[in-house]
Amino acid sequence: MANLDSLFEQWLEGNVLSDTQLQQLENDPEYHALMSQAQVWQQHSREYKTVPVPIWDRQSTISQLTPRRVFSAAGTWVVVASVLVCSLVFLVMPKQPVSELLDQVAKQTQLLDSQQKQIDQLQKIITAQNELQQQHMYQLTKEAISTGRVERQEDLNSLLSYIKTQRAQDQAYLRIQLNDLAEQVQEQPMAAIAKN
Amino acid sequence: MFFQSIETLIAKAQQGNKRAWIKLVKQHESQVYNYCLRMLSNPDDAMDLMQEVFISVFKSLPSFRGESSFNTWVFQIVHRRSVEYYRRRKHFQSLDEVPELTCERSELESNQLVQVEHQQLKTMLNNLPWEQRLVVELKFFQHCTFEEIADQLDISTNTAKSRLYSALGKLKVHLEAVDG
Repeated sequence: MANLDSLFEQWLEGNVLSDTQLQQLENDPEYHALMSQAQVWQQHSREYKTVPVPIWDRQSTISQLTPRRVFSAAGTWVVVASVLVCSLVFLVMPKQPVSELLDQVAKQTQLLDSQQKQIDQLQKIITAQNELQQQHMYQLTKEAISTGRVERQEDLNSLLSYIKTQRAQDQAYLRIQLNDLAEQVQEQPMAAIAKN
Repeated sequence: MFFQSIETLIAKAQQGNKRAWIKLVKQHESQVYNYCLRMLSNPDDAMDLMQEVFISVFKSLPSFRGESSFNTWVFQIVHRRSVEYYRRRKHFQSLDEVPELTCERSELESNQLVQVEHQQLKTMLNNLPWEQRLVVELKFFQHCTFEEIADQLDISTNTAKSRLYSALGKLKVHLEAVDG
């Protein structure tokens, strides 16, 4: 059984089996069934017609460049400039003693270090500014929301007071009409009143 | 028109060259789209997943060191993203419960015969649980060995084999049901 399993695996991996080995597999009902089913999948795979990709926006897969890249470009320029300066030092003053040249290289290295520090500081400043900007944005949004809330509250209050005034006026008008009716009824003779 | 090797394109794309990146996408989109289509059975979902995959590949591009082939590396991302996509979609619907969808805008409609074949394949794949579908895709459509399948799906070789054998068993049941 283990042998058949190994043979079937080899067959699945695409290795060529001898006729005897294939016969062994086909004679076993379980492996014969597995082989037939695998052949169905293999046939589907062979006959699969590739579906053309619909038109889509490939540019949308490109995300925004991070600010880090700007700094790495700046760093590259610093390195290039330093190399150039060092080369010039060696080309223009070739007769200078080695110690002087080494001093200059050391100075250049110091300069490079200081420039790198400046870049780091700039990066920190920009990060801090970004954070500050985010905080400002947050404050502004909060204020806008609270202002909107207050305005809505004021609008609702004025609407409520308008409704109250209207209701009071309506009630007063109804009261006058009822009084008029009551007076009319009182002034009429008893004979004119309908009797149910 | 100059021919550029894939290594050159990758190196240029890693340096931020957009044209090189678009060329890389064009070279791989058909393979990725058809994989997504087979796995999800729906052209709209396949497009969404393909886009997610390429966004992911673009973001991870600086970390590509060429230890494996670019294609293998891309497909590792495809598998991860497809599993995530499937899990996300599973919250809304179960593939087994939903009837087969026909897409009016599908490219398959242009060829009736191809459509029928694809429909058969779709039904067969939909009949399988997601894990078995992945193994079938890798074995028969990506032609991976069991070791490669195990490596890509982060499972043991024996698990890969048992999933494939179970999938073959399910096909037998399906074919018997179809034949009556």
